[in-house]
Amino acid sequence: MTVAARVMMMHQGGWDEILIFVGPVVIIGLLVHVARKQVPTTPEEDDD
Amino acid sequence: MILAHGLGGRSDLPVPLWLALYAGAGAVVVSFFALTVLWKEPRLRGADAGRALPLSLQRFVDSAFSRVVSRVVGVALFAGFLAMAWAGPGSSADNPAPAWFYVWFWVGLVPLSLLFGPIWRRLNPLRTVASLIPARHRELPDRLGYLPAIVGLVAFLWLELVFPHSDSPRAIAFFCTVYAVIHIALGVVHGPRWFDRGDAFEVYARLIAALSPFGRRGDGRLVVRNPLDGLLTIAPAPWLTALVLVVLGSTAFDGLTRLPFWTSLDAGVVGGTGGLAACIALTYGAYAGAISLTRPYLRRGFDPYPAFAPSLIPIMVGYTVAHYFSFAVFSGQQGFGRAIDYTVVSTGVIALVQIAGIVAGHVLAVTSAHDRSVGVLRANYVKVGQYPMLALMIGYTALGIALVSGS
Repeated sequence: MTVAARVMMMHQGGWDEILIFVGPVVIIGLLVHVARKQVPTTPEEDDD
Repeated sequence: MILAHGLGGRSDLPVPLWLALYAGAGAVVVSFFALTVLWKEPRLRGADAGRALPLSLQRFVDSAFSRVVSRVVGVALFAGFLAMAWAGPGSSADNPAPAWFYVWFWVGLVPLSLLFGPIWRRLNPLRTVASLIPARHRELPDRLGYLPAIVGLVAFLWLELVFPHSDSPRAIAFFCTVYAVIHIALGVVHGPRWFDRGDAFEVYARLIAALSPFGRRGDGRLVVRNPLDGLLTIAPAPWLTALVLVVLGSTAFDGLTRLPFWTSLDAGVVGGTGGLAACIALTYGAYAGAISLTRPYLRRGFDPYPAFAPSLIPIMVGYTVAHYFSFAVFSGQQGFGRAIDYTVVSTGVIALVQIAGIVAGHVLAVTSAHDRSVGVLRANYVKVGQYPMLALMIGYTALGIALVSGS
């Protein structure tokens, strides 16, 4: 199967369109992950 | 054929999805990180901000003459609309009342309020009629907050987006008459405050008007101001967040119903009602999730729900502009009783307004939320504490653009 045909098949399957959404989803996942990881463990009085 | 908005549907030329999506999300992320560097202290002053407009203009706006004229105009327009809806032709093809209601009024409230501030409060015919009926007013419980407005809003949205005969002039006449009778009666019982909290259309218009460059300062002076200052003048009240999320969720549902997969479902009234409820619930769930992740970063004594609710309003307005622009331009022509001319605006302009509306709305929302965050988040965690809200706004941006370009 040629590359062009493979790309066409991927498009028909919608994989390239799914990739469009992967970017925002990855950014959202990353932000949520960091927010959960860095939850304050010290009391508020210790802040600068 | 009956489609969303109660009138015939429209199909815009889709913007290139990948470019719009990444540009939109990128604009939100870049503006956020720029703000964290350049905006270290709360700068917005809410009701204290604004440059006073000339006193002569204020005298005219506040004069008995302009008040009476605006009220008479409001009542006359409503009476004319009801007469046309009840007594005019029975089909939306021949009767302009549906276009007047869905386009001129509902969509028109957005530019009207953005340009002139809370002008609908002045024009509102239901408020005027209720004020003419003397009665001893009963206190409206504070705990109700905006809940009555949500009830009215959901009823209207169901009519617009789910009811199969939503473009029927008689159905619209029936809805508006029942709505008017209920709200006038409650306005008589509870006084003018009812319309501040209970009238869905006035509440909706006032939230949008908060983003207007024109407003009133705390001392009562008419001012021109930074629209973001206006957002801070919205007093926190129960159900405010839910109200904004209902509008956001319903607009998402409207976008969803234009996608081919939804039209092929033939969902009917039950499916449509479920879809509308699910979209509102998902929008609410995403917001609740972001707030729950933000909570550990808050300073003691701050409730995150009301703290960030005003920041959602630019998103609501931006998405509404994006979603309804072409609908207003095209279907609005039916209000003049003529056939739609699809050449009045190019597809390129439509695409530009759609993307600009969504991106500008989110950038303003990020800015407003950042200013609020600087004041309510713990000093050592101002940046990371905003990540959940940033994630939410990226999600809303991406979804909004995807729905707009897919419709």
